[in-house]
Amino acid sequence: MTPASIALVSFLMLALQVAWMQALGHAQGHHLAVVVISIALLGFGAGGSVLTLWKSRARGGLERLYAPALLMCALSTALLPALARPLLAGLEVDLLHADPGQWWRLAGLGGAMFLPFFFGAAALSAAFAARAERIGTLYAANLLGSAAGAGATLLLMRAVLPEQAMTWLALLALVAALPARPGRIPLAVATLATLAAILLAPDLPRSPYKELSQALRLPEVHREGPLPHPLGRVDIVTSPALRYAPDLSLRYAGTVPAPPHLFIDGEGAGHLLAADDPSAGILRETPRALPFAATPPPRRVLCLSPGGTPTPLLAVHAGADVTVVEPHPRIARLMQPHIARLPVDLVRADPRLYLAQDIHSPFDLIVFPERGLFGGPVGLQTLGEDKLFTLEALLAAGSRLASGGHLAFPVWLDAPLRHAPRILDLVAESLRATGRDPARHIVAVRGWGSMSVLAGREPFSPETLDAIQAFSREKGFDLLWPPDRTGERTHVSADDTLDDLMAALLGPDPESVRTAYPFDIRAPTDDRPFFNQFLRSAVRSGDLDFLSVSERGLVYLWALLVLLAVGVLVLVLGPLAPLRTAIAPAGFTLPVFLGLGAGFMFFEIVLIQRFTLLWGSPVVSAALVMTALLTGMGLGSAASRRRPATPRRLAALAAGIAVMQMLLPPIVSETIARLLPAPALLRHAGGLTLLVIVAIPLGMPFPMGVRILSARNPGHIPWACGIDGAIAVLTAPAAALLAYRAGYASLAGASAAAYLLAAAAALPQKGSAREL
Amino acid sequence: MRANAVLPILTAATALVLLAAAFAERDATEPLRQAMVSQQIAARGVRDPAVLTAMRKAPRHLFVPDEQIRHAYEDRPLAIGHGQTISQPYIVALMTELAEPRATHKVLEIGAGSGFQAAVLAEIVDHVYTIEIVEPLSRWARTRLDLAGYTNVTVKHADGYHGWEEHAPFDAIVVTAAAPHIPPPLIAQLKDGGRMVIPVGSRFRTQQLVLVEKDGDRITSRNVLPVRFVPFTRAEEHPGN
Repeated sequence: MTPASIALVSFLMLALQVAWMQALGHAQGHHLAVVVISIALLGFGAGGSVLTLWKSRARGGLERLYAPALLMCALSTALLPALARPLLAGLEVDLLHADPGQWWRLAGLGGAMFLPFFFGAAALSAAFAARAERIGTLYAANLLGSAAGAGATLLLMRAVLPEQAMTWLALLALVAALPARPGRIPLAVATLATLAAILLAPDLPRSPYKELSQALRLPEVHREGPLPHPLGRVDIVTSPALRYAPDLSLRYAGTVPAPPHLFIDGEGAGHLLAADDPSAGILRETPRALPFAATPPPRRVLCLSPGGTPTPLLAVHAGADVTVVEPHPRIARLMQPHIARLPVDLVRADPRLYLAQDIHSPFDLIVFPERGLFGGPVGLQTLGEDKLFTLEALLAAGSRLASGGHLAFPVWLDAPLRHAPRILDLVAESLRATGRDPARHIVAVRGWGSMSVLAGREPFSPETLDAIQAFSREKGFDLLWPPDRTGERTHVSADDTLDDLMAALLGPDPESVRTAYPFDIRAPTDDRPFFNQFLRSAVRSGDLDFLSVSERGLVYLWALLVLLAVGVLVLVLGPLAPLRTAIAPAGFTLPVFLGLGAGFMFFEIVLIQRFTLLWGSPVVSAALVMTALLTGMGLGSAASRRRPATPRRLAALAAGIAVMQMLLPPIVSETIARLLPAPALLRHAGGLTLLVIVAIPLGMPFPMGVRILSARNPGHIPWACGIDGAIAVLTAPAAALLAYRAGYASLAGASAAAYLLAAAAALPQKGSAREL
Repeated sequence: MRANAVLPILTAATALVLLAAAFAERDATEPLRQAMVSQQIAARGVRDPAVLTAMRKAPRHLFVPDEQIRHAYEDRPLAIGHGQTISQPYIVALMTELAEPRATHKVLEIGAGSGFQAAVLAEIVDHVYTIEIVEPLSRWARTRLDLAGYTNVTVKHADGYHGWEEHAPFDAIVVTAAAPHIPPPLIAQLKDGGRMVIPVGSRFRTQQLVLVEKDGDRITSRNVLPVRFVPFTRAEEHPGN
C-alpha cells in the first residue's frame, strides 16, 4: 500500500476511463462518454460499500484485501474487450427509445465496465481505511496518479488507438499489487490469465450504421487510416460512388466530384476536394455560394472548421484570400497539400479561440461550418454543446468583420424545422445586441435541402439584393429573405413554416414564436451552449422519432439517471442496509460527504465547460482541468496532514470553498478573457496555474473528514467513500441536466450550495453531542 | 388462455402460413395484404387505386429473407442484409403514388434492394429498370423477381447515380437509397413532365422524401415528409448476405 502503488492504481483508473470513452465513441458514439464516467464512479461507490461489509464481518485486516482486489482489477481490465464485444455487437444506441432490449445490452456493457473500476476502487478504499493515519499522503498519491493518468492517456492516443492500449493497462494493476505481496500462486495465475486475455483481446465492433461502416460497403472503396488522435481518429475513404455536392442546383448538368471523404470516429467530417479537380468549384452551384454573389465580392475570407477543402476552394475561385481555421490537427495536415499553392493561410486552432484573439486584420466574410445534417459536433459533451454557435461567439465574429462584411451560415432544412429557426434566432439576436435591425441585415436563400443565411454589418444595398436575386434565379434557388415580391417558389415543403418562422424571428416580437414553437429554438448562449438540443420539458413521443441520437441525449440522460439511481441503491447503498444500526450514516457522515462529493463534481463540470473556451477542445479541456484539479487537490491533501482535523475546521474550510466558488466565476471569466489572445504556452500555463491554486483547498476537506472519522468512528470511513462515490455517480448526469435547464452559472451555484451543506453539517451544534 | 400466451401461437401460425405460401401458392397471403393495405396504407392517405391494387398483389413475403417472412406484412421496414432494408409498406406505397405511374410508363428505380419496390411498380407500368450497387443484393432482387413471376423488370448491378442512359428518358424515377444530392444524370434522364421521388439528406439519419418535377426548363422540388432511417440490431440482418 505504498504511495507509488496507490498512484499506479489511480493512473490505471483514469486512463481506463479516458481510453474507453474514446473507444466507445468510435464504436457507437460519444454520447456513451457519460455512461463510462458514471459506471466508473459507480464502481468506486460499490467498492467503498463492500469494504464496509468486509470490515463489519471482521474477516480480517483491510490490508488483506488490497492485493487480491488488484489482481482481479488486472484480470477484469484485460477481459473487458472480450466481455464487451458480444454486447456491443448487438447494441444500437439509436434504438434505445424503440427497443427495450437495447437497454439490457447497455446495462450488460455497463456491468462489464463496472468490474475493473469496482476492484480498483475496492483496493484504493482498503488502502485509505487501513492507513487512515497516512490518508493525506495516500490521497495525494491517488490524486497525482489520476492526474497523470488523464494527461498521459491523451498524449498516448496521439500515437495509438485506445483499444490497442487499454488492455495493456491491466499490467499496471499487477505491478501495483507487488508491494502487497499477493502470494506466488495467485500472482502467477493472475499474471498468466491477464497476459492471455491481453494477447487474445478481440477488436471492438463498430456499429454497421455508422457512416464509415456504410461507406466501406461501397464498390472500389479505398480506406486510409485510422489515424489516431485524442480529438477523434480520422479515416479517409475514397470511392467513385462517394460524391460531394451538397444541395446541388437542380439546373446543374455537369460533373460532380468524388473526393476523399473524411470521417472522425466513424462519422462524416468533411471532404478533401483537390484544387485541380475539374469540378473543384462545385459549391458555386449550391446555396453556399450566396456570400460570393454579394457586391462587392469578399476579398478576405475566414473559413471556420470548414470540413475539408470545398469551402476554401469556393472562396479561392471567387478571387479571395482565405484563412482556414481547422481545430483537428490530423485534418489540417491532410488539407495542407490540397491548398499549398493557393492563397490560403491554414491555421490549426479552435475557431472560437481564434475569434477571441484580437490579432487579426478584419475579414470581409466569415463562413461558419454547416449545421443540421450530422446532428451535432463530435465531442465529449453529452448534450452536444457547441461553443461556436452561441450569442457570444457570433458577437466575437461580428467584431472581426471589416466595414461591409458578412457572416455566412449554411444550414440544412431538417424536418420538423429545428436548426434553421435556431440559426435565424441566433443571428437575429446577435444583430439586435449590436443595435441592428435583423430584418434589414439578413439575406437568406434556399435550395431543395438547405438554406444559406448571410448577415451583414451594414444593411444590404439594392445592388447587392439585385445581384443575389439574379444568383438565385440563375441557379434555381428561392430568395427567402427579403421576401421575394413575386411570391414564386421553386422549392416548397408540404408543411412549410419557414417563411412564417423567418418573418416572426426577424420581426419585432420573436418571443411569441419562440414560446409557441413546439421545439426550443431560442438562441444559445455561452451559459447554455446547447445548439443541438431542441426538446422542451414536455417531450412528445412523436418528436423523438425524427431527432438524431445526439438530440435525444436529454431523454437518455434522464433514463441514465434513473438507472444509475437503481445501481447506487443496489450496489452502493444496498449492501450497507443490513448494517444500518451499526454504521448508519448519522448527522455528520452523510451530509458532509454528500455535500463534498456533489460540490466537487458540479464544480469540476463547470470548470471543464468554462475552460473549453480557453483550450479549444472539450476533450483537451476535460483532461487538463482534471489534471490540474487533481494535482492541486493532491497538494492540498498533502498539506492538510499538518493541520489538526476538527469538525469546526472542516466546517470553516467547506464554507470557505463555497464562498470561493461564489466569487470565482467572474475571476475565471476575466482570466480566460485575458489569456485568450496570449501565446499557447502562456495560455496553458496561466490556465493550469489558476486551476491548481483553486484546487488546493478542494483537496483538503475529504482527507480531513476521513481523519475526523478515523479518530471518532473509523467504521464510517468506507461508508464515507461509498457516499462520495454514490453522489459522484448521480451528479455526472444530473449536472448535465441542470446545466441544460438553468445554465452553467446555476450549476456553479449548486456547487457552492453543496459545500455549504457540508459546512453546516460539520459544524458542532451546541447542547448536543453530535454523533459522528 | 391468457392473452400473452395467444400471441406467440398466432405469430407462429402466421409464420407457418407465410412459409407455406412462400413455397406453395401466393393467395394464402392475400388476407394479410388486404389488411396491410387497408390498415397501414389507405388509412394513412394513399388513394391512388392503381397503387392500392399493386400493393394488394405484390407478394412482399417473397422479397424478405426467410427469417423475416413472419414479419413481411408488418407496419415496419425489415433488414435484408448489407446494412440495407426493405422499406415500410406505407413508404413503398407513398413513393409509388408520388411517382404517378401509369400503364404505359417506363420507370427507373435506383436501389433495387430487396426488389419489392420494383415489383410494386411492375404491377402498374409497362417496364421497370432497376439498378443496385451492392452486387449480392442485385442478384437477390433478380432471383426474387423471377420467383414472383415479374417478367417486366430488368435488373442491373451498377452505380445508379448515372442512371440508365440507353433506356432513357423515363416517365418516372424512384430512388430508394438516400443521397446528399440529387444526381444531375437522373434529372437529365427524366422525361419532360416526369417525376422523380428521392429521399435526400444524411444517408443514415433523418431524410426528406423529395418529389422533383420536370416541366421544360423548370425543375421544382417539394419536400413531402421526413423519413427516418431505422437501424436494426445485427442479429436481425440476413446472415445469408
